[in-house]
Amino acid sequence: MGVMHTRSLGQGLEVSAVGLGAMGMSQSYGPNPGTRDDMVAVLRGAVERGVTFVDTAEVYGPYANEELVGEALEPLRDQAVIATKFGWDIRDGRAAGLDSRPEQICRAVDGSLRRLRTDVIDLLYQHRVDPAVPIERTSPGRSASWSRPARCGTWACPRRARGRSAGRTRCTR
Amino acid sequence: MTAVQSEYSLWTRDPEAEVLPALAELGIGLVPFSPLGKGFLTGTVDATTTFAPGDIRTRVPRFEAENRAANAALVEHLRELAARRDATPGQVALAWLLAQQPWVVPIPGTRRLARVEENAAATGVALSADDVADLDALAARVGVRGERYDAEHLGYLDR
Repeated sequence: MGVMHTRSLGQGLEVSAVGLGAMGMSQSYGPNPGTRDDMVAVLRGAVERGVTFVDTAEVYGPYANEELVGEALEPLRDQAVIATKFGWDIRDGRAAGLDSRPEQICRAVDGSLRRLRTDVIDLLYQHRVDPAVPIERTSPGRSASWSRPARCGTWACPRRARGRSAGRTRCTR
Repeated sequence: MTAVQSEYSLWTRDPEAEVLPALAELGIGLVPFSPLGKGFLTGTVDATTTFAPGDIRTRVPRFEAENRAANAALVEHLRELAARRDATPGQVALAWLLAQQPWVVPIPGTRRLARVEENAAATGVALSADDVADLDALAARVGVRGERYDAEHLGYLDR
C-alpha cells in the first residue's frame, strides 16, 4: 500500500483523505463477523496504515462504539483524529428522540471523553438538528473549551448549514 | 465550523443541490457517510442477497429486493468502469467522491482490515475527466429506485 494522502476540512483540520466509519463495528450491519478483539485490531491497523480519521458517535451501541474506539486508539491517540457526535436522548439502551439542549450536550460530551479515553475530541458533530433548540445554542465557536465535568457556555454560530454541522472543539481535562 | 457529515455517494446525490455550494462558500468540509451505499456500490450486494436480522438494510426501502434489481444497472456500469481502471467498484465510488472537491473526505465503514486497505487505495485510483463526467451523470441516466431511509428516519433529516 502506498502512503495515505491527507486533506483539509474547515479550520485547517487535516485528516486522512479516506477515513473509517466505526459504527458498523457495533451496530446496524447484523452479527459482527469478528470478535471485539478483531475490531480493536482493525481500528489499530487502520491508523497504522494511515487511515487516521475515525468516526463514531455516542449513540452507536449506544456507548459501546465509543468504548471500542477508545480502547483501540488509546495507545495510538496522537496519530488519530477522532470525530464523535451528540444530539440524541438516549434511554433504555436506545435513542428515544432528539436532545441538543446545552445541558444534555455537556452530559454527552463528558461521557464521550471518558469512553474515548481522551482529553480531546478532535471533531464534534451535532448528530441531528433538534428543532426545539436554536442552532446558535448547539454549535461551538472557535474559543469553546471543555473540561471535565463538561462546562458549557452559549456558542455563536455564524450561519446555519444544512446537514450535521461540526466544530473543532478542544476539550481539556 | 469544520465539517458537515451527510450521506453522499454515487447513488445519493442530495448534498449537491444546496449543501455543497454552501460549504464551498463557507470554507467547511464535507464528510460523506455511506459513501459505498451501505455496500451496494461495492458490487457485493445483488437481488439475491439476504440480510441478517438487525441489519439496517432490512429497513431501507432502497434495499428492497425489487429496488435492488432495478438499481443493478448502476452497479454494472460502475463495475465495467472499475475493471477498465484496474480498480474495484468500491474504490471507484470513493475516488469519484474524492474528485468532487478537495475538502470531501468519505468515511466508509468496514469490519475487515483488507477492506480498510482497499478503501484507502482509492486515493490512488486515477479517474479521467471523462470518467468523472460519466459517473456524474450515471444516477440520473439509469435512475435510482427507493428511498434511502424508512419514513421514521426521513423525518429527522433535512431540517
